[in-house]
Amino acid sequence: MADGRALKHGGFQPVPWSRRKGAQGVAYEFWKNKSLYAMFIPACVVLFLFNYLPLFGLTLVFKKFDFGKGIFGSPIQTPWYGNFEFLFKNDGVFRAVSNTLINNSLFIVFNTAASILLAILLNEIFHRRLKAIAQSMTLLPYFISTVVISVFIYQIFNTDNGMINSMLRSFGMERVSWYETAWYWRVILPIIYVWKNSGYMTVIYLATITGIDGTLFEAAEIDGAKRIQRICYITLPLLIPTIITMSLLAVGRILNSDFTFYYAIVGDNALLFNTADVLDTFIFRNLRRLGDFTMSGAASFIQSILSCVILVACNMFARRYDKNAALF
Amino acid sequence: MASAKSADVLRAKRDSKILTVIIYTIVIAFALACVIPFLLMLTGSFMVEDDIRRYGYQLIPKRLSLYAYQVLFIFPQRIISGYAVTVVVTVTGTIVHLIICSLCAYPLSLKSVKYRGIFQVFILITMVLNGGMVSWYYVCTRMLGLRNTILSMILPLLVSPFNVFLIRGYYMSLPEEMAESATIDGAGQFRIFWRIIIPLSQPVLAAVALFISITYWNDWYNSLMLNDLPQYFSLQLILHTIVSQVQFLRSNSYAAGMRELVENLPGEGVKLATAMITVGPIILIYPFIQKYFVKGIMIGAVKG
Repeated sequence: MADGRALKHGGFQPVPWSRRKGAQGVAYEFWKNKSLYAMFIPACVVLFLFNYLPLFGLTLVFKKFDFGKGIFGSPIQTPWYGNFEFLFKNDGVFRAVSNTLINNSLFIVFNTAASILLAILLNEIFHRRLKAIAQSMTLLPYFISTVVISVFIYQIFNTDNGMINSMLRSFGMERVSWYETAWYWRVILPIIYVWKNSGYMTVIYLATITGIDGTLFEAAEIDGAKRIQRICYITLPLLIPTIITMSLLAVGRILNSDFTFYYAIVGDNALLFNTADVLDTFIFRNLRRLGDFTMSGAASFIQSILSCVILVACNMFARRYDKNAALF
Repeated sequence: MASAKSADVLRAKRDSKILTVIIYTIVIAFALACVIPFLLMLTGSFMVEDDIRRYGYQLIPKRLSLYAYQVLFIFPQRIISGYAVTVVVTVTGTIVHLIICSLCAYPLSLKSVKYRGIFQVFILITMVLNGGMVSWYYVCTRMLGLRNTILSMILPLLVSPFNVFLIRGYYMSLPEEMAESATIDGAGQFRIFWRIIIPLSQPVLAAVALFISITYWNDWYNSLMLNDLPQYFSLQLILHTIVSQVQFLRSNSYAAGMRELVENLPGEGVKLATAMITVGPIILIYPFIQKYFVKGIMIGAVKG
């Protein structure tokens, strides 16, 4: 830019900065591209406020927290691991961790299976219009908020006039108190999760399937392969890289749950906590309902650090497997 | 195209009919299962409360009534203010999110920006490590003073690292020569960005806008965490409050002997009506823009 302008005016042409000795430092680079570096500023400010400041806030876990003094003014807890001791005396945290791991594993397995199945079946539908309509229908729940979903989950399962209980009653059977029995939700929650999210994953798997070289199928057909054989010996093996990377990325977030999903559907219903209280809801309850910064802070700390380690490890595996598929 | 289609038909003919029927049945059943709950909610909100109790939810109600909506609009302030909050948050949030993310992605995509790597790492770290709910809450309430402000629903979602990298990937696929020739013509970087890069990147920006606007519309986490005053409640949070209040009364009425009172609450219909009002805009526009959702996810999946 500078060069161009200098030429246009003709005459005096200063030696460009870049050719002067010692002028290629950091400051020069920033000065030369100042408008480009300025474009980083808004995003970096937002990220600093909402992602980096909370990282400094993690020191809370070693503090004897005093709300009046704030995180940075509070004295160090004695002993320094005192808050963790406090946390591990609470049985709720172990239940929350195991529920998080079990529920998320179920979600990953069934969601992957369902979306692969759906993608393969959609690919076998040759009416293009029907295929497109069916696909966007399955995608709809993904875009609906968890609160709205909780409303009709309640319509289905509530004890007095829920759909299932009305049906049971019309068959002359006893009604079931779904909202008072925890273990039902070990099954119900994955079903809701798959129903809500499988449409999204299906798009990705279907895109991979459509990307498969068509000549493979044609060759198989000439060799007399039936539809099932084409699926088992061509489509599925070629889907494996996508399955592995998508699953690894999901496993990387295994300690994090969608808080609003649980909080909308289960809420503060303590009867269901045995299967439906996860780390995020445990932390939320202690923080917002009980105002306990130290215990929830310790739980939050452990969740952050462990999930960072798991995510980086999973990403390393994904990267080793397929360089383009990794998150970073 | 035509030959591909006829090949499809041929293939479909040759394969067994039974399998085809099974496949179509499963797909159609799954697709219907994804949509019917919303239809039941819609008709349920127009049903007479008594009929819901007696017959359960029906796709074609016996009697129609606007009672639930009338109850809801006895005190319209709550719903109207919820709508206003949600609309303001969604519109400003989407616009500012787009500006910030597309701006940030541009220098990340240029090889001539020597220190872009530092900024890339700065952004990547936020994808991997976060401070967790507690210190996030502390920072938002104590340090940034976001409690009970409309900003509390906009600011936390302004930057999505995923979207930044998505947009950057798209920029990188654009031909470099165009920006170069504009530089030679004396255009500044902001000008190049605004006049050349942005118009060329419309597909990815549209996808990001679509997804982030849905995120803003559906978000109630920030609203729940940071707002106590009803005038700052978003539509979703209002719905959640109504739902949990009715649910709370129901589940605690057995012991307290308030059954009679609770039975007469216009509960179900009002909940459904509120839910319908909340999802209304999404459901209404969904059929017209559904193909962009599929395209948008595909852009995201291929990613940069």
